[in-house]
Amino acid sequence: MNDELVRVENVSKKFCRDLKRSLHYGITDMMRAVRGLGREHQLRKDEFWAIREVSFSLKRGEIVGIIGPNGAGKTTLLRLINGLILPDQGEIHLRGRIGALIQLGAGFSPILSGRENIFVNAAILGMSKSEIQHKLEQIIEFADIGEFIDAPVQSYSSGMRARLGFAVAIHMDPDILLVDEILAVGDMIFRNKAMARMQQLAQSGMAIIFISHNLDQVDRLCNRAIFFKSGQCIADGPTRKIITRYVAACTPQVTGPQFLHHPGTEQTLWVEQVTLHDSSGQTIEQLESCAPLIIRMTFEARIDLEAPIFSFMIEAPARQIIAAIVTQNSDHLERPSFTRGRHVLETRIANLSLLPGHYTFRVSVYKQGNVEFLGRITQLADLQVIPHSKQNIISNESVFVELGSSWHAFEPCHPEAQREVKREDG
Amino acid sequence: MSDHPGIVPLEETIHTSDSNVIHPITILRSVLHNFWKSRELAWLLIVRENKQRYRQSKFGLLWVLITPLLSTLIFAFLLHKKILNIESTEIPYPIYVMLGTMLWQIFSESVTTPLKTFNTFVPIMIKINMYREAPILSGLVQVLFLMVLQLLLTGMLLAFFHGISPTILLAPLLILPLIIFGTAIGILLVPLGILYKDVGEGSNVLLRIGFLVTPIAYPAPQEWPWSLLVTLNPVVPLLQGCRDWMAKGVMSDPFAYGMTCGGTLLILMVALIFYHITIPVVLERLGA
Repeated sequence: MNDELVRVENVSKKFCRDLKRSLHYGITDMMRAVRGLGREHQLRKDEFWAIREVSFSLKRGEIVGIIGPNGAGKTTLLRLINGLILPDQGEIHLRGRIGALIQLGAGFSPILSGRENIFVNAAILGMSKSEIQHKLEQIIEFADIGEFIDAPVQSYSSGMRARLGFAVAIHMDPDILLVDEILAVGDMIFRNKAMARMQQLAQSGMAIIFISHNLDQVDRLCNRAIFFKSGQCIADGPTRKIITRYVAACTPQVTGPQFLHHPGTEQTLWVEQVTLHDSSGQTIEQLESCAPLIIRMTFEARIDLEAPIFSFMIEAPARQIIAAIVTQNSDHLERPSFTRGRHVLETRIANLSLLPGHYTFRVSVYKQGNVEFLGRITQLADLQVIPHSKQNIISNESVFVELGSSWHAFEPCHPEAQREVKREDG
Repeated sequence: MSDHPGIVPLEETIHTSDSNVIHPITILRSVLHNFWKSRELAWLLIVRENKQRYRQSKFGLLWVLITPLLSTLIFAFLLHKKILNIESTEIPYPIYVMLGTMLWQIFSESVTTPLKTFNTFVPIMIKINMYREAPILSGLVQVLFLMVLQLLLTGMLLAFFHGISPTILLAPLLILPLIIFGTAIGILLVPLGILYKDVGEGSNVLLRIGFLVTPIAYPAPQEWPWSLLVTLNPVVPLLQGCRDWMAKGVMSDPFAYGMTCGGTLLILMVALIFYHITIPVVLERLGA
């Protein structure tokens, strides 16, 4: 059976920078169309390729996240797939009903009530009247905006509009759902509900294209990602890998770590070098999961630092901080003070229980006692964690840390199961 | 559908850079198909438009009737006081002008409505892929609605001042070609009109001039070269035909009326094909 729902083949789209000229080209194109000619393939004056030779396909059950900088052509791509604009080159093949959330509440009339707008909006999206009547209660229930459903839409908050728009769109039962950065205005409850629903819809066979700048959301929701830049598809693959690539591309210097001193930090301390080592003291750039890690930082204290608190933090690809090691909490080291001048600080992590992936380090420094913030330096070092020999990779899950554990299994009546769990330290 | 993959064959769509001109008949068929498919949507859009218009209004529908009613009252007053003086027409002059003005109003409304309705839907159409025929259909229905209201009013006035025969029941059918002719011109204007505002402005000016050069408030000139105004103006046979029918129950020149009806149908087909081909090209120039 053919599971492919979307096939984008070598699609290009050009736009014009100049409005007047664009309108003029509009007439030229119109006349071409009337004469039965296709699109003009060459760039004319003031035109540029907004999308350039993009190809990919999408199967049932896939949720593809499209990430990339502003102006990369992400929304243009969705508009092409939705048929709002036609390609200048290439073809887009679609199978099934398309639901698009490119602009939330497009077609909402501010004066009409939410309930009335459901009818109009759903009809604009292509639902028949009987279908709408049949689904009205479900839509209202999903939107969950209470009594506001009978109030005019102009009294809605943007989040409420998002709820209503999303509720209508997903109840169209599309085979292909296009979602463009719409969860941004929703509150946490709605966002989680929408994400859960999209996951559920994908499992039942829908294909979803999801554009977001929230990499954490993309990471949680999508099982595949496409990195878009300057109208081109730069990378296409497993979400985590593509996010890493995108984040790396967004970092001004692509190779190696660089120290980004938080504003004001220069007056307190200046980091010169940070190196990562394995247990044998070798400098490393990659490490097996759960192996010991040593971080060594050479820095210049620009003021006298009396027993400061250093906190190394580990960042996941989408820049979330997922773990921290703090000098204050260390039993073994008596917290040193640093006089003005150069120093070396070393910390040792007995087993770095990070799952395979790409991580970066940052450090924050606080004054002792009142915990006043002194400075922060990000992008200290990059570390690639690779799986150890016995490790099964948990893929497609937003998991970064695997806690060390031991496992036992008993029958319910076994004396071990009845016994209170012994305290490890007792 | 999504629960039974493979059982119900999925509808296939292809967006391509190739021209969508296949064959005029194929295009016409898909236009008609789209009209049929968008009927519910068009209706909802009309309801929405009217709800929007009248929710912030106390008098509501009355406004549609007030303008023609007032103008007729003023007009009757002027004539009664002998302020206006015009040579006699075959039909009593006030009736002649009243019917002519009403018919011209319906025609000019048909010309301007497609572009006007389309413009109100541009913000939605550039964000949602809906049937592009829906605004045309909803505009047409609104013009028809206007026609019915105008006819009711005029019918009452006619009955009161002039007397009517049952033949007037055919009037809506006879006005239809006038509306279709206007709408066809209006549809032809849409693609260019959404790119350049000049088209809308220009057509308003032309319609105002058209009101003056069409024998509406004066009898049709017979001597050359002024008779050209009548022979070259395709609105005249349609308008005259309806006016004759409503006032006298017969048409003075049914042949001209019939010929123009035929031409109207042709223009309508050309307009629909042109619209179908050009709208997707033009719409994307309007951006998001």
